[in-house]
Amino acid sequence: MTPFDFPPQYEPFTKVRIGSNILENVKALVAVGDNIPLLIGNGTTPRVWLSIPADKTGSRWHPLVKDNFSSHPDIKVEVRSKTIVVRALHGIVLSAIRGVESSLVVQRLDLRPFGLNIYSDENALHVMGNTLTKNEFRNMSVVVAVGTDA
Amino acid sequence: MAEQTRVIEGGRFDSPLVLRGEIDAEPERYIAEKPYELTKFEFTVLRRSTAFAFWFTLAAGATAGVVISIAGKALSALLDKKTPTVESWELWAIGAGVIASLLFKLVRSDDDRSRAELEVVIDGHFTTNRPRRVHLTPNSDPK
Repeated sequence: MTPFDFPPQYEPFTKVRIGSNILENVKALVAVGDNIPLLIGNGTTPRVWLSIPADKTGSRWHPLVKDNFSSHPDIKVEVRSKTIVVRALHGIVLSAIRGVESSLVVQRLDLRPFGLNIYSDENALHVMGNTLTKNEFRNMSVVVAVGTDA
Repeated sequence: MAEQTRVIEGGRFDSPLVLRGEIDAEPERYIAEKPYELTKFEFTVLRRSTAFAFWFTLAAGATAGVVISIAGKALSALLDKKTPTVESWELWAIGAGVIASLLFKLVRSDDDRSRAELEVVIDGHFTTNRPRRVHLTPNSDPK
C-alpha cells in the first residue's frame, strides 16, 4: 500500500468510534485507490478535509472542504468547540462530536451523494456494500482500502 | 458496486481491510471544480494592500466626514429656525476631497496591475475548467 499524503495540519484523533466500530491510532477511515475522501482531525475544534471524485473513473479528485473551509456554496461546515456538522443540500454529510482525551464519535456519515457508497449510522459502517459492525481497528493508516480497478 | 458484499462483525484488525468497489456515480450536484493551484507569490500579490487603496479610503472617509458635519450643522440651524449656512472652506474641502478620492481610485500602481492580471489568469482557469455534468448514474444503493 502506498503511503498517503496527509495535510501537514492534520492531527488524527487517538480514538474514534463510528457505527459501533472502534478505531485506535488510525489515520483515516477509507482510502479509495490513492485518494482519501474524508479526514477528521483534532485541534481547538474538530477539523475536516473532504475530497470527492470528479468523474466516475476516480482518476481525478477535487477538494470540497479544506480544513473546515467549504469550497462549494452548497456545502456548509458548522463548527463548535466539540462538534462538527457538514451539511449539503441533501442533508447531513458528517456529524461528529469530540469526547475526552482526543476521542471522537462519528454520529453520522453519508458520502453517497458524492458517488461514494460509504455511510454509517449508529449501528454500522457501510463501505461499498459491506457492513462493518463492532470491530476494532488499531495502529494502521487506513481502516478500509478500496481498490477500484482490481 | 462490489461483486460480493459481506458483514464483518466483532473482528480485531491491525492492518487495513481491502475491499473491492467502485465509484457509483459522478457527483450529480456537488461537482467540485478543478482548483487553481495558487503559488505563495500569487497569494502575496492577492493580499497585498496598495498605498493608493489606503489613501483613497482616507480621502473618501475625510470627505464624507465633512459632508456629515455640514449636514449636522444645517440640521441644527433648521431646528433653531435659522437659515443654514455653508462656509466657503467647507465647499473647498468637499471639492478637494472628491478630486483626491477620484485620483487615488483611478491611478493604478504596479501592485494593482499585478493583481488585476492575476485575477484574469484565475478567471481564465475557471472558465476553461468548468465542472462537467456527464455520465450521471443514479446511486444503486439508496438507504
